[in-house]
Amino acid sequence: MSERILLYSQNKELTEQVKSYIKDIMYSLESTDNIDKLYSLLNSQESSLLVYDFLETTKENQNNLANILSEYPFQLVILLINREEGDEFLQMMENYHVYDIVSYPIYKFKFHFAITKAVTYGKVMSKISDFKSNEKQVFESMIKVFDWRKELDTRKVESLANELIHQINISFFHGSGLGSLISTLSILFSKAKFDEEKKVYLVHEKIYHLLKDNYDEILKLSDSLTKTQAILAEKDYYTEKLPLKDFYSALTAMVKGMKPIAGIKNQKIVMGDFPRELASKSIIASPENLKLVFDELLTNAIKYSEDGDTIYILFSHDKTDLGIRILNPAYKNSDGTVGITEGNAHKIFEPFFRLTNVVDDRFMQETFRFGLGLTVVNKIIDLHKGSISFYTTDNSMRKDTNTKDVCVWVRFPIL
Amino acid sequence: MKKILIVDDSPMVLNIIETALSLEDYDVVRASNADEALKKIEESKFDFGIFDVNMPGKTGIELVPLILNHPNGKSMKIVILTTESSAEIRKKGEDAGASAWMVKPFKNAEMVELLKQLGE
Repeated sequence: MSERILLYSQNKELTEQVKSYIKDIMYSLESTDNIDKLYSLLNSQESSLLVYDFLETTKENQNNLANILSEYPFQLVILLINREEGDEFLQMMENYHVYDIVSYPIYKFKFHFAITKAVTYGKVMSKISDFKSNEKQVFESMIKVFDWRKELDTRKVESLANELIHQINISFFHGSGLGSLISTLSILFSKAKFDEEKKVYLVHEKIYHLLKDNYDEILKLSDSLTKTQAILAEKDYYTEKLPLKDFYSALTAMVKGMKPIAGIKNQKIVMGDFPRELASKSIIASPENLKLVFDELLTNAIKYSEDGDTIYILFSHDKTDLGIRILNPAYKNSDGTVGITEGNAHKIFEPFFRLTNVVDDRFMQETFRFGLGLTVVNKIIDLHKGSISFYTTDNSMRKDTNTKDVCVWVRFPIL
Repeated sequence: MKKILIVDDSPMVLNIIETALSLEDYDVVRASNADEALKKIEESKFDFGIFDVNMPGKTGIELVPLILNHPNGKSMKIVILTTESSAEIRKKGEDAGASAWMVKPFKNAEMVELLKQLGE
């Protein structure tokens, strides 16, 4: 594309002469004798060079030139001037950053030389400007990346750490964990009496029984951590071909066995029919670990439901997967949200994460009581090449249809 | 003998506090949630209360004004018991009318001393 030169002149003869010279060097030219039009052309930013006729140094022309040079400080300008203009004028032009001057009479080769030199300069400056602009963009992107990293490294990590420590604190020190043992030991130390004669400490039987209870609880904590560690490390993980009718029978037996736990809050568990067409199908599974999965999921559904609620277990399937949905009523969280939100749907599988600070000790029979349950469940399902997701959905099973349900959807590949 | 109402959803925590305070000659009555505590206050007067914050149903902080506004609980000194010791939650407890705060896991000597001070 040829360079586009802009000429401002009220001298028709000069305009024609410049047109002719520009044509020789294969550039295109737009000329105007109207100052407003000139502004409009400059605003369009289509011309790389302005040739300004300053042969007539009237006050008006001086003002026009001064305004243009100050309003378009990056516009490349060549002035056409009379030979008689003195140093004082040239000094003034320099202050306005005029690129070059061509004096009258205008000789063709001198004009060509000035124009091509100015255009080349303009191209270089444009490249530098682009480079600077790109460099600035890269720099700004880098700053953003570093700011983001900084945010991750500080506030977000601090926030995650804070959340994690908070959850661990609740898991281990609330209720029947290490916290209870510390409190019991503090009673022991303050109330034990030393028998000088026999050189033994005497402990009240109430304290002894407390210690025994605490010891049993800490054993559970230890067992829970050991089991979690073994599952997460994929140790002792054996699978077998499990007929789905056997899986359904085992789940039915488990639901029956959970009646006392459901009875704590007068709840019931309703199981849907098993798809008959799957009777001859199987999955690859570890029955022992599957029991842990459904024990944990059903206990959670019971814990997070209220008095008298019903928990549903529904079965579905497609060509490749068996789907099991466990539904329980969704309730308002402390932050005003209901059930499982997008924000916490992925967090619930994180170790020690709890949706609530309440640790309901009525469900002390759980294998994984310390905020580790869903982490283990997720891992076991992963080992079965299945999937698990939690979400909140409209209630379609219960009388009050304006409510929501929490649904956990577990899928296993069918053989 | 001073009478104290302890409210916590954890049977283990109730056992510990009951054991500790019975050995200090307190008459201890236990409740596993706020509703049960409100029934206990209907039945008799208490000198002290130790309420856990995080319980299923009403929290310990929500329970404080309900107890203090009851004729049998007007003169009670209530200690809030929790794993969380943030200033915000302490402020909520104070605003609700609690007299003191105890962080889990609590130390026996500190709990006994605190009740002694509140009783003076």
